[in-house]
Order: sequence, then C-alpha cells, then structure tokens
Amino acid sequence: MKVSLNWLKNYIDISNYTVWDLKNILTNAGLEVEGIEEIGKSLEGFVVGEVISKEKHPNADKLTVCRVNDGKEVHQVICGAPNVEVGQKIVFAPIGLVIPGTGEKLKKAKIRGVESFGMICSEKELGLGEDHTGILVLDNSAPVGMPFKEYLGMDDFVLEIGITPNRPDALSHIGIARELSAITKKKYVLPKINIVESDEKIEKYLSVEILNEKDCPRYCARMVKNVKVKESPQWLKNYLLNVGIRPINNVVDVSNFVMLELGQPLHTFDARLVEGNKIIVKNADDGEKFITLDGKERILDSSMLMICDAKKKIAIAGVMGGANSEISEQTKDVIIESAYFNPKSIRRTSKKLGLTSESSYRFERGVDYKNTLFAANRAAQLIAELAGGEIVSGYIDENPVKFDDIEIELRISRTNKILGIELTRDEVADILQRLGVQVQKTNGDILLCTIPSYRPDLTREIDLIEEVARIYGYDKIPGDSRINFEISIEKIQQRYEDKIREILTGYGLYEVMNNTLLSEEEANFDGLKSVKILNPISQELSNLRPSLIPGLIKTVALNHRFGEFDLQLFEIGRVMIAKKDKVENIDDYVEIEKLAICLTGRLVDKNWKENAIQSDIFYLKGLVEALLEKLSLDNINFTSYYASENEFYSIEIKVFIDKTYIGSLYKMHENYLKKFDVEKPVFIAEFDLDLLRNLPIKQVSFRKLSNYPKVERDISFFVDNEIPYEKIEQTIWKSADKLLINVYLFDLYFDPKKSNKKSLAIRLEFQSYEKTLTAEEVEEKIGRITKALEKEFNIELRKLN
Amino acid sequence: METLETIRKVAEEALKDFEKISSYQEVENFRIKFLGRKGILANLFDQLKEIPKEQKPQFGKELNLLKRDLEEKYELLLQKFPKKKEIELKEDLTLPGIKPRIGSKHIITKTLDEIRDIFKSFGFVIAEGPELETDYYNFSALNFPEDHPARDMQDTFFISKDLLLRTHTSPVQIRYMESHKPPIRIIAPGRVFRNEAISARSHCIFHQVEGLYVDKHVTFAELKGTLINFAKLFYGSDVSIRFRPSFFPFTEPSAEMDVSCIICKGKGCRLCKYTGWLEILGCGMVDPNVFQSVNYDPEIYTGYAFGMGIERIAMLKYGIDDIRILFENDLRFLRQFRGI
Repeated sequence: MKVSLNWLKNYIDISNYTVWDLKNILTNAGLEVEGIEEIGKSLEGFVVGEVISKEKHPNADKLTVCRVNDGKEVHQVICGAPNVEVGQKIVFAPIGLVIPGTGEKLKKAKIRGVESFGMICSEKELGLGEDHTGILVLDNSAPVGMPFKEYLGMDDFVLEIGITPNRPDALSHIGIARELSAITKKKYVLPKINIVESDEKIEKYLSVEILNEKDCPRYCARMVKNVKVKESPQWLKNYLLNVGIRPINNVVDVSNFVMLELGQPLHTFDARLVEGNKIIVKNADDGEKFITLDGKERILDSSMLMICDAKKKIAIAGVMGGANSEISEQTKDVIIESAYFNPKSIRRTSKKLGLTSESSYRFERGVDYKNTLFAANRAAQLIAELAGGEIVSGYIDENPVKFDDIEIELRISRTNKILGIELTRDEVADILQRLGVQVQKTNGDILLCTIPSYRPDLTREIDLIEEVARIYGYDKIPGDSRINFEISIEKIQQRYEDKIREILTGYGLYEVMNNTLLSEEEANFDGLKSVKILNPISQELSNLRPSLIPGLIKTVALNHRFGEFDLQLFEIGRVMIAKKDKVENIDDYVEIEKLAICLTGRLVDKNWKENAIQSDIFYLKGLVEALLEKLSLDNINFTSYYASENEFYSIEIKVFIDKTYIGSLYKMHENYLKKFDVEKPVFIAEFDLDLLRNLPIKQVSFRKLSNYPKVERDISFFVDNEIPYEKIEQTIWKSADKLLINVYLFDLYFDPKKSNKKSLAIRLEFQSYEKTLTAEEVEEKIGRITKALEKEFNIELRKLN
Repeated sequence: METLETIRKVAEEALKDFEKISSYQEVENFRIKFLGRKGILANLFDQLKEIPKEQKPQFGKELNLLKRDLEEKYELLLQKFPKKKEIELKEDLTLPGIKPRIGSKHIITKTLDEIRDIFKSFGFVIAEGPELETDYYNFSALNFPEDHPARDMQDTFFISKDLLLRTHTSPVQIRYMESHKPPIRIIAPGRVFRNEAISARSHCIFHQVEGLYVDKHVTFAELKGTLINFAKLFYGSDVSIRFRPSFFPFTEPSAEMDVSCIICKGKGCRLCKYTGWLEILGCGMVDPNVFQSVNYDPEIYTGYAFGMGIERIAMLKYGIDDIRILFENDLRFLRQFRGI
C-alpha cells in the first residue's frame, strides 16, 4: 500500500522523524517498507516564471522570442507554442534540466540564428499529461520563482508498504498512524467530523433491506442532495495522485479518499438511478449478467452478494459498482454506501469473477465493523464541502448481525515461555494498551484483553504474544544458542543420493537439474502416462515429467547449440507417473525418485599420447556396474535385446539386482533424438532410486589373503557370432573349480577370413589358498574349461601363449 | 633327462647375458631372447607336449621356476636400466598432463550441502516429503484457512481439486510430526513450485530448506540464536543480522531474517536495493493450530520452524543474476563451479 507522508501528517506528528527513520520503524514492526518514492522528483528545478515580453522570431514565422522572469533573472527563450502571451505565469525550465517528457537534457541552443536559454514547458514535456498543443499556463496567482513541485503540492514522500494479509487494519493512513503511535508512543487523531444536516429525513428517500445477513452483517447509508459533480480541488487530486489513484470527479474522489484515509471502502450511487428508493442486499441468480463500472459484462452466480434497487442489480457487493448507477456529471443526489461484508463471501466472488479492486482487497481481509457509520459520515461531510449540496438528515444503519467484542486471556508466563524473555505484567499491558487493546489486570498471571474491532487478526493468546514481541522489538530479544543434543544414527548417515553424487562426480560427471514441467509432447515417453496440470503457465510447461530422460535430451540439445558435444551428465530427481488418464487423488499416480546418467560425445579427448574414446553403450554399462559396486550392490544382472520397434530407443538393456528390476540402459533412437534436434548418439541409464536404496547391500567382512601367487592364463578362440559373451563366461565359471578367481575379456575381433566367427581372448586367473599352483594343475583346469567351451559352443582354440 | 639339461643351460646362458647388460636396449634384447613371444622359454613350453608323461611334472615345474627366475631378472634389470626411450625422445616435461575428466555437483546441491552440514552440526536430521502434495498438507494442516488471502501468497499449480505441486517444503513438517514424537529436529530440503511466469528473477521451480524444532521448552530466543549462528557460519562472523516481524499462517510470532548486504556490507547498493539488507529466510514459532492438526498439545510443546530459498542464496553467493541459467544446464555454466 502507498502512504503519503503529507497525508499521514494530518493524523500524527511525525516531524521528528525523517522518511528513513519511518522506514526503519515500520519495517522493524512488520510493516515492511519496500520502497520510498520522492514525489515530484522529476520536477526538481522547474520554477514558476512570468512571460515579460514576446517578439516575433526574425527568421521563423511560427516561433517567438520571449523573455521570462524566473524570480531571480530574466532569460531569453525561443518558444514555438501558439498560446504564449505576455503576462502569463508559466513553468520555466533553465538549462541543464532533464525534461521528463522527453528524457533529454536541456542545452543552450541557437534556433534559426537566435539563442535560447531555457524552455517554457507544456504539460506533456513536464510528464504531467498528454497535452502538447501549447504551453501549460498557470493560474495568475502563481508566485514567480516558486519551485513548481511545491506549487503543485507534489513535494511529498510516498512509502510503498508491503502489508501482510493478516493486517487489514494497516491498509489506510489512519491505520499506519495508529501503528506509528503504538511504536513511538505519540498520539494519533481521527479526522473531526462536522455535519450540517438539512431538514429532510433520509427515510423519505431510501430504505435498506438485507436478505443475506450472514454475508452482509451491517449496511450504513447517507445521502447528499443537489451536489455539483466536477473536478476535485488540487489538494485532493494531489493526495490521490501521489498514492497512485487516478482522480475522477469530486464525489468518486471523496469515496476513494475516505477508503485510503480510514480503510473503509465506500460506494456512491446516483440516487436518481436507484429505482424505488430502495436498496436490497441479496444474492444474484445463476447465470445472470451484469455490467460493471469498467464496462465489462460479468456472469454471476447465486453465491455472489449483490446490491440491488427495487428493480435491478446496481453493484457487486464489495467488489465493483454497476455502470447503471454510477456517478456522472448529471448526478444531483448521491447515496453513500458504507458496509461490512463477510470477507469469505467477497473473496469467493472476487476469485470467481477474476475481478479484484481496492475495495474487494480490503473487504476480503476484513474491515472494521465499528467504523462503517463513521466513514459514511466522513464521506458525507467531504462531499458536501467539495460538491456543495445538503446532507439529508439522519442515516441508515441496518445491523442485523452484531459482533461481540473479542476477549482474550493472556498469560504473562506463557508470553515469556514462548519468547524466551522475562517481561513484567506492566510491560506487557503497556504494549497492548498502546495497540488499542483494553487490558484488565487480574491478580494472577492473566491479563484480560479486549481487542479493538479493527484488529480481526487477534483472536488467540498467541496472536497477542506476537503483538507483544513485535512492539517490544524482535531485535531486543536476545539470541539463545544453547543446543541440547541427542545422538541418532540418522544424524551421521550419509544420504543415499549424496553418496551417488560423490561417486558420479568422481567419475567426471556433471550433475544437472531440469525442470519438472514439460510440454505434453515432451512428457510423452515410452508409453508412460504423465500427470497434467490444471492451470499451467503455458503449453510448454503443462505436464509433469514421467521420466528424467526428456529433460536430459533437452539439456543435450541446448549444449549442442553451443558446440558442447562431449557430455557426461547425471540427474537425481522426482518423476510422477500417472496410473489413470485423469489424476484426481493420491492413488492415481506414483511419485518416484529417479537417477539418470547420460553419456554422449567423447569420454576421453584425443591427447598427445592416446586416441579419443567415444561414448557407447558399453562405457555406460561399465559405469553403471562401477556405480552399483560402489553402492555395495551385488548380483548385478543385465538382460539385453535390440528394441528396434520402439520409437524412443534402439537398444535397451534391463538391469536387475538379483531378480529386482532397477532400471534400464538405453541407446536413444535417432528419430526420437531428431525431435530435439540432437544428431549424435546419446546413451542414457535411468534407475528407480527409491528401489535401489532399499535393496540389501553386500556386507563386507575380511577374508584371509592367500599366501600364494595367482597364475594368469590367456585363452583365445573362435566362436560363432551369435553366441553371446555372457553365456561363454557363464560356462567358464560353471566348468571351473573355486580356484578360478577372475575372468576378463581383453580382446574381441572379427577375422575377415572367418565369416560368422568372432575371436575372443580371455584372461583367466587362478589362485589357491593352500599352495603355489603348478603349471600342470593350471593346464589341467584350462583344459577342463576349454573342453566345456568346445562341447557347448563348438569353439575353435587358437594358439595359446 | 636331456630336457632338464636344456633348462639348466638356458639358465646359465641367461645368467651370463644378465651380467653383461649395461643399457636399456640390452635389457630389451634380453627380454625378447628369453621371454618374448618366440623366445627360448616359449619354445620350451611348446616342447612340453612332446615330453613323456612321467617326465612332464618335473619338467613343468623346472620350466616354471626358470620362467619366474628370468622374469625376476628382467624386473631387476629394468630397475637398473630403466626405459628412458620416451623421455629421451621427448624430454619436454612441460607437455600437458593427461587429466581425467572432472565432474561436479549442481550448485544448488552444493549450496544445500553447505546449509545441511551446518544444521547437521546443530543436531538436525534430514527429512523429505513428496513434491506432488495434497491440499491438506500444503495448506489446511498448516493453518491456511479456506478462502483466505494468505493462499494468494502462493501461486499454486493444481493437478486436481485436492492435489497440487507443493508451494513450499513446509508440508514435510506435518508429515514428520504425524509420524514422530517430540523432540524433533529436522531439516527438509526439496523442490517446490510456484505458478509464476519464468523470468530472470523468478522461476516456476525452485528449492527450499525447511527446518523444524519441537520440544518442551523451545523459545523465540532459541530460534534467533540458532539462526544467527547459522548465518554467521554461512556468511561469515562479521555479518549483521536482523529479524523483522512478518506473517506466515503456520508460525506465530513470525519473522523474516535479513543479513547485511554481502556486497556493500550494509552501506546500500543495487543488489540490496539500497536498503543495506538482504532477506534470507522466513521463520517463526510453530502456530498452535499446526500442533493441533498433528495432535501435539500446544500447552506442552513449543517449537520453531524456518524456511529459506536455495536459489536466492546461491545466486547471491556466486553473483548469478538470472535464475533461469540454473536449470538450463549449459556445460559452460556447470564447468565454472566445478572447483567449489
């Protein structure tokens, strides 16, 4: 909310404080000053001047050479405006000023051979309006030499205060004055109201009937007759302009002024347009249409509270008035509405209509229900003062639902227990009284507090404790840094995902974080159903990712655009997989934490010693094995097959720990990659981290070391291409005894002379705990192994060495 | 036993050669001669097949002994006359090292780690909750009444009437309290969502760390003490700290904590919008209504909670002025932070 200091000064003496002091005082009390605007700053340096002579420019028909008195000196100015005349009071800009309307710095100029030392300004050049047809001519009484912003009354500071939703009482100048008063202990005053009433009684012109008492507990009205609707006086316009409200006419401006002064939103109706001398407060009908002040048609429903006359709807209660009853220049008689509407009702209506106003903003937070009549009187007084007319005698105050004062018992002991300080009863009572709370001291620990009606946020003991802390000052409460510890295993354990991060970054991978939100098309991956957002920001971010893979490919694509082709990445994040097309409740989807690893481009650059290594599925497989081993997972099984049918990947290798499927390795399909403009092969592994973390891990216990050396033997053979390596290795293990400790494929090649055959070279390692193995023993073992291989796969042994 | 004789002869020859050797080249010749693919030893192993069965074991044993002996000699020679070949050819030791690739955690993870480590040292444990939440956990249980303007502070992505993307990590408080008895001391890091257009200053996803401490005598003074210590450990002991009253539905009294601007040290600059302060976290004493929603007696237990946005903290720390770059994963960006 914007608060003008000039305006605020009417209610509290703040002369001892600078604007910066006030900023700190309010901020430290929870009314955060987010900005300070110096009004009229752009008009700094402009002065009121007088045109003392005017001559035709010798070389230009449309220009005149004027002499302007600025109170100190006389300047020669070339002027192009048709309306400049001798004797006029004008706004003079000396050389060096920045002209707000153009943003340019004014320089000494020679125009068609005649020098000009300043400028006579138009409204547009001053940034005050759109008029550029001629110079701005001021009232003849304007004092020559006076700073123009002072003349305008725009010599003001405006505080932009962020009011939290629990503080409707602070949404007005009086509210801020009240708050400052509580903090600084200076008194604040309400505006004095002096009403002169005519003889006519309001009952003659108006009656009010409330049909929905719950949503409209109180409705006050006053009437002013025979007003003259016109422009507001400058002081009122300045107040409103300074806090960002556009002046409209004196009647509407008064209602805005009173709202910003007292926090009570008002509405004014043209009495002539209110039919049947009657106002009825009732709900709308479903589907009914209504045109609001802003000219827009609104479709209503039966939950919305309306203000009606005898025949029609004339306003959406608390939100916006109707075009059919608004104040215009023809208005003679004005009805002022000042009501208390149920905050929930206003909020519901405002939300449904997508329509918020200064008025709904205040009503939905809760206005002061005791303030309705005062505000109506204040408005009546000001309208009568500014627009003439007579205030009709009496007022309407329909108040079907009365609110009791809220009383709260506050325990001093509880206050101190929560805050961790030792305040006395008197200190606490003093703070509350400064906030307008009536305090009754009892003998014991308890203060009996009556809450002022403008503080609907104070309903519980804890609310008062906060008030005490706030006014006492958070900074005065000392920090207590004692920590009483308990020890638990959770406190020292490293989190599973952190361990994975350590391992993978150690292998040279970068962690990435992608958006959870994808477009519907991007979220379409491998037949997984994705969860849709009801109210997405845009079509590009409408679905939740069912997999980390699309996001990773987007990352690859982005990096390709910048010439980064060698990417080893991983991501840990949640995915959501829908079980139904439409997700309604928690049974309709699963949320899973996933780990994805992505390899593309070179794994090792070519360097002066070695050649480059390109990513492929086997490096990904090896990396995954290494990771799982580091995670102490045992019995890793891969099943692989070519999935050429799938549009998303051309290879999938499923990974199992024992019999549990934990995820897959993929070579992404080139057609799928093309959708993302990725032209190079990409290999991705994705795992279910929630599953992984709960798998039993291999327990490590020391095994005695053998005192005898291990023996290595290499075997090499041709075998049919179709025989998978995995099978061969299984046969080796099966045919060997326990002295075989390692099997390692170190060469694979395809001899062009032997089609359909591949050559494998395998290193076998043997070791005994009991003795050094002799060559014969090893030969014997090798023999058994090769025999098994010959039998099973018809291998053709190559020469051993 | 002619064959065993052969072995002995080979051994003798090798010993002779061994003693004469004086350069790496000769070492290499030694290796080729005896141990090479077509060397003497390989030849002897080939002969193994032709040897009568009864002699095989002994011959095999002797041959293996010889092999080991020769291999040992070769190793010894290599130590004496190391292979200087490459160095001789390329004496330039300024050639670049062959470096393994370097990886790195995301800076959001790193920032989270730093925050976590501090709170871990204060005795906090880590808790987590789902990103797709129910209205109950995200709002109702946290004392956000239906139809209350406080819900406007959080622009929410809805999945259905009851499901939404959590707008803060505070639902973890409720979930944890439902399943644990006090004393409780947790931090809950995680991703949260706001329905906001993506710009340099705001993103629809970001990360928070939530903290919660509940016990029998937890006070606002302790909240201050803990968070001041955190700020001093994180930002340095010379930082100034202030607490301002604020409003969150699930805490009361509520506060926001500011630290003196890390750039201008409180003098006022563009970063702190000339206030001298940077807003770092929101906090407060757990509202009694929150305790009631998890069946804790607010007369017995008190507690504090706090929450902070990680992106803002990371961006301030590393001088990043556009939040979007955090989730684009441009390698040129990621690489810059690999050393921290």
